[in-house]
Amino acid sequence: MRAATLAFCYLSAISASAANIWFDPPNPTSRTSVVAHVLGAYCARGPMGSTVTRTGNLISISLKFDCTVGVPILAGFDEIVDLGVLPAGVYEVVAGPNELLIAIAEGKLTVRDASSPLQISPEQGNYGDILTIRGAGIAPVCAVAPCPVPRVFVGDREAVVLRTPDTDTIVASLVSARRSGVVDVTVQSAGRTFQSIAGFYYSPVVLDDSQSSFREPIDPAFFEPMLIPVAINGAGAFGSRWTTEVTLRNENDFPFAAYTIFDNSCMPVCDIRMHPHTSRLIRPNQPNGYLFYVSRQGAPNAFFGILLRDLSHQSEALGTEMRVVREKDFFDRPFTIVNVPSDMRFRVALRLYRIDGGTTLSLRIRTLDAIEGYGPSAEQPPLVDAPITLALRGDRLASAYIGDLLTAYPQLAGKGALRVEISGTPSQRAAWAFVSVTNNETQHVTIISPQ
Amino acid sequence: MRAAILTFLVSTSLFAATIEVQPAVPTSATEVVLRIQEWVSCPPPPKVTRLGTTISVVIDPGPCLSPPVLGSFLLPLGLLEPGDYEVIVNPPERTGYAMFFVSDADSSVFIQSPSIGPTSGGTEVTLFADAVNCFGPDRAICPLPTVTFNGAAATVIEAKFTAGTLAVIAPPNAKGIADVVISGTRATRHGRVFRYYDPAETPPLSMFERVLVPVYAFGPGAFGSNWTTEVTVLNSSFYDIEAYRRSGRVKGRSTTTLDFGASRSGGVLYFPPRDFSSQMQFGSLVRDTSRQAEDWGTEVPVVRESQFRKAIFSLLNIPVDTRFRQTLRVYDVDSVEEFARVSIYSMSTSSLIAEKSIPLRSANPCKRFQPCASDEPATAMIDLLTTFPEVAGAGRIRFDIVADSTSRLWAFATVTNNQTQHVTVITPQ
Repeated sequence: MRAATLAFCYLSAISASAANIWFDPPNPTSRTSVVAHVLGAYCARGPMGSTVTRTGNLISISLKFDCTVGVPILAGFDEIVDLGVLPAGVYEVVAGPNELLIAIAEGKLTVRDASSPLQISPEQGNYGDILTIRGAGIAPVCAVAPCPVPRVFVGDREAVVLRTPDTDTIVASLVSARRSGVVDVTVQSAGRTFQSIAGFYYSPVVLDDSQSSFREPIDPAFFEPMLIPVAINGAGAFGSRWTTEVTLRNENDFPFAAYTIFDNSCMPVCDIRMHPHTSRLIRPNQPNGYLFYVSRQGAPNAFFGILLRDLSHQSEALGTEMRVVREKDFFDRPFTIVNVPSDMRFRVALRLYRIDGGTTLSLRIRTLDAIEGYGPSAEQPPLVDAPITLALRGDRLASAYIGDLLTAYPQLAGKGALRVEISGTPSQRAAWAFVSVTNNETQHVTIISPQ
Repeated sequence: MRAAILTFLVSTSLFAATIEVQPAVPTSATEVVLRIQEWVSCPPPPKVTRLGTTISVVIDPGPCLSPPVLGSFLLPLGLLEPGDYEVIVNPPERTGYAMFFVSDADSSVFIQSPSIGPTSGGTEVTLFADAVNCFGPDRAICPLPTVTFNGAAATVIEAKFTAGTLAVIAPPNAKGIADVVISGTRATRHGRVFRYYDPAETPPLSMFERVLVPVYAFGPGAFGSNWTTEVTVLNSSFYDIEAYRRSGRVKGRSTTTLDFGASRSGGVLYFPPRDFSSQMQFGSLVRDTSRQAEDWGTEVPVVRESQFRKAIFSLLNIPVDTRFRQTLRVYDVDSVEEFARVSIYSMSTSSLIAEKSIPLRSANPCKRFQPCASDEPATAMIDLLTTFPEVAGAGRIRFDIVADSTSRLWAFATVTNNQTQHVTVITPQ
């Protein structure tokens, strides 16, 4: 009986959660401790702790299950495993049950070098890109000529040194293409070796239309997720005609990849790089939201603008600004949108998002001035308390759209100003939502977002 | 000569020092290191002196007159007692100022609610008191624990005493960190965990965040408009939160409408406690009540301190169209009167169209590198075509904005339809 229970447990766990692991923080360094979240399904008791072993670049997490209960009941778990502070490198992390040599979750973890002697910009690219590498004394001036040119290795490929503007700077070109992935960067100069472990990410070389569904896992150590919540180009309600202008500016001194709606062009191949000090305006049609990735190194100086315009009323209003949601803007805890109207002259729509592949959120709506007490007796019940199922729009993005809160929840009518509470995410920064208030007559839109 | 160079360095804001505390969240068990970056010319090693909780760093200009370079100095401070510390670079003129908090690593007392309060006392403090005391209704058998703050007795709120938590009213005390002692029937616990501030003084940077409400407007505007602003704050924690010099607390799990009094054309600063700032969520809506049937209004984001930038930032895709009024508002969160460099580029050609330094002014300005209580940010509000007439007919433009000094700025543009008064806000993202 116990063996059968065990088998049921593990097989259920495998089918429920293969490769389901994520790391906090997503971009650890050799000075920050890392926590792994292993997601899955388990029997009535477990996981009851874990052990971690590291052999080279393989980290094994053994989860302690107890499936001795008579009738197994599956339930989701989010087991938090402290991996501690790891040396820089790329690790394969495999999690499995204690008694069987099977994996129920596995993932790749990149730990950046916090004390790297080299600063590389950009720190992602591929064939044809020019890298600027800075480090103390990496291009020394020799007392006796001729001075050998420093050698630069980006992974297993040697880059061509173009110039050494000063003793601390090397400019080199990547002259051969390589399969995408994280590599070390090594500089050999005047008998010394400087190395940046996990210092560079080879981006995919090209994307063409046939590969536009390319979805190689984006390494979160190098790329930050960002969300365009809505981008509509087409006809809307009451004769409105919507267009959305999305603008991106790269204010960095180097190009970076922005996957993938900002592709320069696809003739004959797509260029996924956003070139330095350039702007780009696109008009995508992504009514359910679009998740994309921007290089972490370039993100602080990447600026965005999203403008939703109703062309049928363009003489009356320019339009409405929509936020681009950066990684730091997502919530890993319950959050609230305040001062939402319940007025029949307006359509009050709610859009909800998750970017971790999860598909449920909880929605509670109260009057704005409701006071929640410290105990059940003092608690004022919410006007709405409902689970919301989100539809998956890709591997990770899920979204839901409630077109009019007053239609969906008639009990809200006439309740005055409201507050909309959203919860139900795990500890990962993954959830976001906003409310749009649209005048039925003029189609003017007011966005209310969590702040 | 040396004095002249020092005066030059201080008066030229380019030479402001950047102060970083390592680790970012120090405890009394961690060695603290200051990392200071400043433009210098072959200086001698910096001199560090500490008087109480004030740390002074003097970086002399050095004997040579070579062009300054950005120097980086690591200054070990060793282990520090729990408390709030000030760092002043190059007193008395000052080229840098910062504050940081060192927590008590040995504390056996944990505060669940905000751990700061005014010297006048009266702050309700919720302590984690598991296993400190017996728990039962008969006080003769099971008396309440006693709690002191630096030896002064706190009032225990009996109604809120549960097996795990203990709510008390903090007594009046002197400014600084207080040793909190819980004496129960089963155990005594203590820790230097509660910090008193003097509300008559400036808000300590290590205790309070600066949050900007960019627009707080009431009354008639152009073309018959009549404006009102609603600023709402939700305290999503279970504990009451008291912002600096704001009368009344924001109750736990409830919302409050913030009232800053009369219209503030340049916006207003709000000072929530840092350790609970993330639990406060804001809403800010500007409405034209003369046209309230036509649209609900416009959200103007409330701006957290972390959103202000020392580096350049851009506002993209702003139309130059005579049907609209385009206004740019620039803010300095530290209320320091200075200049912002505004450059305007064509979106289509990326060519520079115009560039100017715009003065930022405050009704109650602060001095650079000094603690300051002003809630009036230094700000500039400019009409695009009045200030930059050369922009007319440029189509879509981009603003690049950066402080002429190392101050922290934020800005946004409004595009207002002259006929309908509908406002579109364009913010840096």
